[in-house]
Amino acid sequence: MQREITEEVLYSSVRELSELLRARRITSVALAEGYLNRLNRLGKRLGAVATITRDLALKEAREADREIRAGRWRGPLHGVPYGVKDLAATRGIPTTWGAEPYKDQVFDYDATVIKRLRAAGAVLVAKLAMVELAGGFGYNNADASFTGPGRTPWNMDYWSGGSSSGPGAATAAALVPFSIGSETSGSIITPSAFCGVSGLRPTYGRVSRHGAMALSWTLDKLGPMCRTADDCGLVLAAIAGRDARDPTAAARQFVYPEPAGRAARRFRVGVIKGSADRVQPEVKKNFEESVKLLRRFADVDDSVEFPDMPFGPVVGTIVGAEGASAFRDLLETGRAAMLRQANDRWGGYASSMILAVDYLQAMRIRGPMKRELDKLYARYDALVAPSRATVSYPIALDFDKAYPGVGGGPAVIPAGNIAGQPAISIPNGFGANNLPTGIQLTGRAWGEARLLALANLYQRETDWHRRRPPVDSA
Amino acid sequence: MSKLKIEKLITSSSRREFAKSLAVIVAAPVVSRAGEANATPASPLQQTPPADQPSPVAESLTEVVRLRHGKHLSEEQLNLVKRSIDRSQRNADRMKQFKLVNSDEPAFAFTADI
Repeated sequence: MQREITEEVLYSSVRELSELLRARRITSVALAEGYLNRLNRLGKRLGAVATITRDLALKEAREADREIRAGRWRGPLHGVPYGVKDLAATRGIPTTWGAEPYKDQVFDYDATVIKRLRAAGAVLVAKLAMVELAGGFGYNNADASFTGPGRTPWNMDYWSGGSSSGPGAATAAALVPFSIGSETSGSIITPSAFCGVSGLRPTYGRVSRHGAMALSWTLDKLGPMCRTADDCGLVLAAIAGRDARDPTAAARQFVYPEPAGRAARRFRVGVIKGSADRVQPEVKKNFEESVKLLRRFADVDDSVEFPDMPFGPVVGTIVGAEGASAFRDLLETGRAAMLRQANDRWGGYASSMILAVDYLQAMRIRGPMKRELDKLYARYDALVAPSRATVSYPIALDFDKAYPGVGGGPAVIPAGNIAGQPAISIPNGFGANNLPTGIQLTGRAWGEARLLALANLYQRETDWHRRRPPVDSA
Repeated sequence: MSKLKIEKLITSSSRREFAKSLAVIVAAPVVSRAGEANATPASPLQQTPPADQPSPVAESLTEVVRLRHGKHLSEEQLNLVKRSIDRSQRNADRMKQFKLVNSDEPAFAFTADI
């Protein structure tokens, strides 16, 4: 008997939806219609949507239903709708990069990530909003996209985080069951924390970026944003792997879940010293509760000294220089003036003055940084820290005015991005103004499966990832 | 350094001489704390604070921006550009303190494969 597409169904995990689809309790078309309705009803209010791909979605969903009926099941994403940050090229559908100067841009090819998800049978329902140009020009408040500010569904006066603002908000509010975001330095981890979803930043080179907007060739990564860590594993398994069109995409195998023998081993977790010292009280309390819970499955080293290296200056120099190069035409033609956020209209010009020797210095320092971090991370399955020092920022305030004096611990996000290491942010409670907080589990390069195994155990014992934002009653 | 002075430098001397003069300015000591441009903004305390007075290097590089792109930028924006360049220069100074050896290659590898 067919199951009705209720709110409960739409808030289900990818794994649960997959089981319903495979058992033919629901159809992909009905499911896609359910999410399309929510995208239409809530997408704009949340500032989460660039383009709804209704025709394509229903075509892909009908095809999925036909195949499933015929017994040709492609795997756990078959028939499952999703959204993608609007920096991945989609043939014949606008790909706006969140920015006014590109809002009519249409490519005649699909990004590799789109092709992989199509091959897995997933159904594209929306291109999701993002901070213009993925935030590379130094934006300083939430109103930094031609679609307007992204809003967290937990409290619409607050930002969804960025630059994967749409994927964060849309996944949290069940406008999609999963989404694809991107991270150069923080753009998956931050919206995942601010929206209360599970977001995985894969190892650099794990997922092909072919067809995705480049902000920084040596830092950009694509990754899944889902409601559960388990779903992140399912999605990553579908999109990971070598791609002749992206020379950085590695032929490393990603096995999910990790093999049983490895899974049986007790985890070794380190708490990054100082990471919860200058954070908001609720962030600290939730983090300490999370660590307490992790002790059930892990031997925890309570105070791990993080290397004192200039991670911030290095990542800033690299993003600045590569971003100014990637968008040089925008600067030369003066079209940067069309960007939404005031800082973005001049930030690229400042970055264009980063000297070549300084950029190369940053790129040379990456080697020793990577080695130092790997030496540390080799001793642990995961090092943990609060995902962000604060809950989300008010839409109405510039970021630097939101929580003055808070947040000054080790630069865990820049460090992980410089070294190309994976991380996952999972929700771990709530703070001020009913806003979610997160814990980030960070790991050694290519160690995603171990991080996911630990995150899965955490989510088996908690229900933060099951909570629903008050967006339907608002 | 004024726009006029910079233009004079460019017109009255070779490009190499101009580059040399900039290099001398770049060698001036500056102070730095942490990173600036991130795809997600850093926590306020992780950002390099603004300096009271931008360095001569920032002044000079801003004049280059003015010469190259001045028609696209207002005076107010150029002033913000200057402050940002100043922060970048202090980041660069902090990076220069990191000890590297000759064999430390940049973290990218060119390949001749197509």
